[in-house]
Parts: sequence; C-alpha cells; structure tokens
Amino acid sequence: MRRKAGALVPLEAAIITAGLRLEREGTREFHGFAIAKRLVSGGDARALTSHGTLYKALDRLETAGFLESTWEDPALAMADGRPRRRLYRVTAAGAVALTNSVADVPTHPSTGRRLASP
Amino acid sequence: MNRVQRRQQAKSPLVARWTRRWVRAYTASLETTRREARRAEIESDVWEHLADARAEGQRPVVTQLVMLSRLVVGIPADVVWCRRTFRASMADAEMKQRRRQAVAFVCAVVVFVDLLILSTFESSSRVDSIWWVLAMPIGPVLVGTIGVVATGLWIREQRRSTALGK
Repeated sequence: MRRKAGALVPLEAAIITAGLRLEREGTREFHGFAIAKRLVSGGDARALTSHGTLYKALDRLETAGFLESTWEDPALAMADGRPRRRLYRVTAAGAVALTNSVADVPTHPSTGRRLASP
Repeated sequence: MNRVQRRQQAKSPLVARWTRRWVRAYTASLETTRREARRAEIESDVWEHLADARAEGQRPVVTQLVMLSRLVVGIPADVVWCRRTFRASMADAEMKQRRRQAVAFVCAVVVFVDLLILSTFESSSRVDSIWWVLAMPIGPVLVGTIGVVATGLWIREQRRSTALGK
C-alpha cells in the first residue's frame, strides 16, 4: 500500500526530530553516522541503524524536500585525515511535515513515550 | 582514490571491507553521480563508525559485529533503493543518450547486413561479368563497414565527452 505524500514513517520522523534537536544545540548540520548515534542515545533506536535503512530514509527525506544536503569542503576532510562527509540540514518543510505527523507517531508500549517528538 | 587512501582501506577491519564490496556491487549499475555519492557516503560512515568505536574504547570484535549487523540488516533496503534509483535514472539524460547511441549502433549494423545481403543477391544474378561479380559485394560491404566503424567511434567520443563534462 502506497503511503500518503508527505507522510513520515517513524524512522524518518525520528531523523528529523534528532536533526532539529541538534540544531537547537548549535549543530546545524549532521552526517549520517551522527544521526544514527543520536537515534541510539535519544532512545529512538536500540542499536545503530543499518546502512541500507538509514541512507534510504535520508535519501527519501531529501527527495521529499524535508532535508537538504551538501558535501563538506574536501580540504577540511583531508586536514582531518578522513573521508568527506555529506552534511544534512532539516528544512522548514521537514519541520512542518514532522509537526503534521506527530499525531500519527506510535508510542513506546511500556513507557508511553512517543518514538519521535519535536 | 589516492595511494594513501587505498592503503588505509586495505588495513581496515574485515567487515569494513565487506561493506565496501557490497556497496560497490549494488551501485555498479547506477549512473555515475548517484553511484559515487552513495559509495562516498558509506565510506564516510564506515570511517566515522570505526573512529567513534576507537574513541569509546569499544572492543574490535564488538565493533565488527555491530558493523556486520548494520551491513546485513540493511541489505534489503539497499536493494530496494538501488532498484528505485535505477528506474528513476532511466529518465535521466545520460541514460537517454546511451539508449540513442545503442539504437544508432544497431541501425548501422542492420544497414550493413542489408547491404551485404543485397550485394550477394545482386552479384549472383550477373555471373557473366567477373568484374561485376567482384565489384558488387565489395562496394556495399566497404560502405557498411565504414558506417559501423564510424558509428562506433562516434559513440566512444560521445561517452568520453560525457565523462569529461562531469
């Protein structure tokens, strides 16, 4: 069954939520692994999200206009001796989509906590 | 990728290498931009994961198990993403150009074969002149061969200029 345009699955809502929290903490952009770590530390995931699941979700969010991405400056990455990061940022449309989907996000069965909350 | 990066990759844990191989495999059929972006992104993820595990003092065995889990659990999603991306790229200009080139090449081959058949038919109906028998097949075959070779060279040139343009 196709999902409605603009609807977010729990993982996507969790990614946008984590991205907005990072932004409030002063980290405007995030890369894939950072979000995977954040999902674990925030209780939205029990283990690091798999590559396929995570990057497919990020790709879908970017295609839908809820995230935008840029590649970091290669000189920066080279100076740190690591590969270039793809940095994502939550867009205004992403924040709106999250707000619209909050009511539909399931809650944790034992704590009653929403799996993604703004 | 330069020599330093290749050496670093060769030294990385086994599961990291498996992850890279899997990514190379399922992205092989994608168009250049998407393929290289996905490979670079996973490469970055693998590096960040290993660096984070080292910083936290995680045992290498545990790191490898976690990375293996991330690889294996994500395989179905990788396959779905790859198929979706491939289908979307069929509408892309690069793929359209490749289709045009393939059609042009096939047309050239068909013309060549037609000329060959025609020349064989023509030559068999004029057996009284030895020069006619020799000239009839040679002319069309020569024209057809030049046509096929020229089309092949044109396709190669088109692909080179597309690759340089990126």
